[in-house]
Amino acid sequence: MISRARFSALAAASGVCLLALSACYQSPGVTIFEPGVYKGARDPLLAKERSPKQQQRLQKRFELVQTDR
Amino acid sequence: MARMKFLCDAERCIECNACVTACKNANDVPWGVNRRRVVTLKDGEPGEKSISVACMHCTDAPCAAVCPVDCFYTTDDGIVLHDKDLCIGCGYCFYACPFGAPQYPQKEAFAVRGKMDKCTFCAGGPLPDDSDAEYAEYGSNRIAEGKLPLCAEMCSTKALLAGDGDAVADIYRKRVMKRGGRPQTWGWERAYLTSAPGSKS
Repeated sequence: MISRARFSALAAASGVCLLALSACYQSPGVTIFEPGVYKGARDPLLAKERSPKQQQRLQKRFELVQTDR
Repeated sequence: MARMKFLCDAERCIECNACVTACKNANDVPWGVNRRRVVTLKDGEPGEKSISVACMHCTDAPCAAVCPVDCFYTTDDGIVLHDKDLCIGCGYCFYACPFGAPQYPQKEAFAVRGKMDKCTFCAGGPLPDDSDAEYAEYGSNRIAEGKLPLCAEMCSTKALLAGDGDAVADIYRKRVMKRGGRPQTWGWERAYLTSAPGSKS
């Protein structure tokens, strides 16, 4: 005869096993990979570059430091 | 919208390697990696020429075309950047690049390659601008600060130009017109083969 304590330990262990097994789920959905499309994080510089103010700053800097000597 | 490009004037480059040092210093480039190099042809011979080479930020970048994880992107200004969190260090971009720009730090034993590192035109990467994380992974983001790459900004002879391709081309065109061909102002011929201006011999 199984003692009450042993029974509850077994029940807990089987519960943990069931929980672990339930995590082994494989999604049937297909991940479509688009070649040639950037997959990384978005660079905040892209939005900044579009502002005319930033373009003017870079143009001003170019005239300041790249002028011929 | 500007189209950012580098141009190295071989007639002006004096092989001082200051651009290489500036790049390493500004971006804290790891040991063994050179984002920029000075290549010299005919070293020590008449007609010696040097040129500073880094990523040329190609309009149709072959590195991006061959990347198996698509970690490259091009900004609106034409700067080719990449995400190091996606890079697997496979080395395909190194084989595709005609300039040898991609570099790989050796981070582990047995020559295992790290994530690819290359010139970013001092524009950092896909992390918050001017953050510590961006500096640690990609180096400084001078473009976000409204500045141009340090290598070109501090070039003492202005051989290395960086900026909007049209503006760079204008400067170069004016130089070529002024020179009227190959200048020998400080060259080999002036020093050894011809007499000084004004002398009779």
